[in-house]
Amino acid sequence: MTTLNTASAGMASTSGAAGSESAARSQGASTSASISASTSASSVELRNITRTFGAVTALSDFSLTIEPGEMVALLGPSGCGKTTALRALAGLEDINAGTILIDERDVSDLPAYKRDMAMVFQAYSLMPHMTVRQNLEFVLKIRKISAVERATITDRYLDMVGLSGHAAHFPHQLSGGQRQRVAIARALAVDPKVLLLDEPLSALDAKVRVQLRDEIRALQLESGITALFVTHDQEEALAMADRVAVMYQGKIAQIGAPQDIYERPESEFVARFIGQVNDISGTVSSQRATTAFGSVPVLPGSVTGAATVLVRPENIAIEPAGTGAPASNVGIIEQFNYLGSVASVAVRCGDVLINAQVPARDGQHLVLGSAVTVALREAPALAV
Amino acid sequence: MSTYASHVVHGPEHGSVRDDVTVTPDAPVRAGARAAAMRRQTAFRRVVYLVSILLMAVPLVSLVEYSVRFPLTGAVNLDAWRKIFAGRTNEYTTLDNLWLGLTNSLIMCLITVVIMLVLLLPTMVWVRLSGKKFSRFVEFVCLLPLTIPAVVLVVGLTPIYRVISTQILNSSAIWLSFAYVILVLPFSYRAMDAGLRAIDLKTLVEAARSFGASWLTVLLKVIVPNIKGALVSASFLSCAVVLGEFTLARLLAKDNLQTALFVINLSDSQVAAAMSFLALALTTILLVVMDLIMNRAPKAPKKLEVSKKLDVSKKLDASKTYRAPKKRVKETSR
Repeated sequence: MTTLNTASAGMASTSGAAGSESAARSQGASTSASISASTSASSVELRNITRTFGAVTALSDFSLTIEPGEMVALLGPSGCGKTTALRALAGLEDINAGTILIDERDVSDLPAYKRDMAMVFQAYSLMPHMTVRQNLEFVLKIRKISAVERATITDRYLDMVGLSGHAAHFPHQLSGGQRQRVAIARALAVDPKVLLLDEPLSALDAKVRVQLRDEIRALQLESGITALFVTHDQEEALAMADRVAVMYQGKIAQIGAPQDIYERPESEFVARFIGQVNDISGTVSSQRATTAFGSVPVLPGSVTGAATVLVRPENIAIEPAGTGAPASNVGIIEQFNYLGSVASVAVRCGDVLINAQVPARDGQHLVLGSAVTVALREAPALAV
Repeated sequence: MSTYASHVVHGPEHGSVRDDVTVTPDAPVRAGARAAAMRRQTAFRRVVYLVSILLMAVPLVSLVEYSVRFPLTGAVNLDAWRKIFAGRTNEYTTLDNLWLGLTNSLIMCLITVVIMLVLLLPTMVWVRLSGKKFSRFVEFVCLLPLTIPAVVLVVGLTPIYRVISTQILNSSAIWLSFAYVILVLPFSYRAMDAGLRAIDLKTLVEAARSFGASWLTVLLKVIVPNIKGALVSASFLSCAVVLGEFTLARLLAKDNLQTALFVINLSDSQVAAAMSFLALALTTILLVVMDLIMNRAPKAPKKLEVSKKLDVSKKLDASKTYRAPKKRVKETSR
């Protein structure tokens, strides 16, 4: 239920942002001069990467292109190979076949420490024996930056993540959110070609997670850095990324802007993995699916003939039924969950249970056990 | 307890329930009983301490007493101690072997520890990073010396040392260090294993590597500082093993502290007793000092109570340096 709610909330915040996203990015890039020395972001290309662990294929013919300054999220169920893809790009994982290009230069055979990347890990990866300041200075020293510059850069980035007051503290003296913020400051401080984020928020509690999510995105936009972000949390992916790549069995099932992924899934897996769907049986002919609850246009990639139509809960309209004779599209409210901004309603129509989502204020007249008519809104759906 | 509690429960605050219970009539009685139980426990603890100290002190006191009191006549004199503290002089040439053995043993401590660290640390780090398969094998190999009696080991070592003595190096006792590295493996492996287990090695190494650190930097700047304690105890255990080793040295006809003590014991047993006591005392002091070094926490600023409130205020500060994320979302969605 929560997933459903949050997914649509994520959509709300990003919907309509498609055009302005790139504008915001270039704006971010133009201000980045004040933050990072180099303003030109790097492009990344992973070409036909294959990686097997014994009998398990983690990546099979995996390809992905990241534009300069873009943030791409790899989203997928556990074991789909998303972390392997990130680690392959970082050079922490060997690949069996394929090519990795950064700025069109082949780095496939370079070891991790020569790839000029910075990674933020899921687990706290700060050096426990160093203070926050030393942690930043340590990585700058590795990159052979002079002591004076090290101090300036460290100050600047600690200030940027709002932790200047904690420079002398050890990681164990900070909260989880603060530690990850230091990790992000450390990653950005070295001005890497690509910023890699491996589920950086999954160890944090919900409130900090949302807050830090926004901060990471703001920092990424501001510095204009190319970023790859791995997560199993669809809300995170939809809210943060310019493009989301949904992975399934070592391959990208679909890649696109968040709203494309959510509203125009190309496969059953993507439709079911992102958000929630109702399985409604119907027949498809001439690009429309006809069901007991009305007809909707179908998305490209749908089958024709008898099919299951996958309809999002918010695309189902519920009205109190009139006094007329019971029709096939009338059901009884079996469950009503008030979730604050929205309400989730389960309606029993014969042997199918329809999950609908309505704005909470519209749900006041929906009473448990009352009869309602169910109708599909005119929104494209995938038929499988 | 519940009968008292039931009539004072006003809300979900459990703390208030307990406070109320303590003022009920029989509470002081129970508090008294608890105090008595605690006193009994403390007394018992003291007795255990005392008995163990006595048990451990008896052989030590006997050793010291033997070193200063001639067994037959009972006359007390400090000759044995005087001989030791006189050092290696012309006066007491009979003790030359003891000094030679002691020097050899100390040099061997150093060599053994260095070889052990250089060999074992990178190996164990590599094994830990590369997965379970090798880890089992290395653990097995490292623990093997525990199960092989020194006498058996000598059979294999004799021809090797014949080659080392005659063709590669020389017949000096200090090359026994190579064999001692094998002997100390089980102990130092255990100590280092515990240290490596305590840190998130994989993440730390990968973090450092992804930032561009070479393996040497990773090893010396990231791993070593984090397992300093384990390295110190591994080294200490190695020293203890080397200082106490007798069988290999004796069977391979090399002089170390223990073989020298054995020989002295035959001619001047009081000196041997004094020297044994001294070695024991020095080792103990070494142990205590190392323990102190290990437990000395790095100088840290006073621990802050990291609260949510602080977090938020910092975030607000941060928002001055870049556009507040919330605002951005609104702008872009327009």
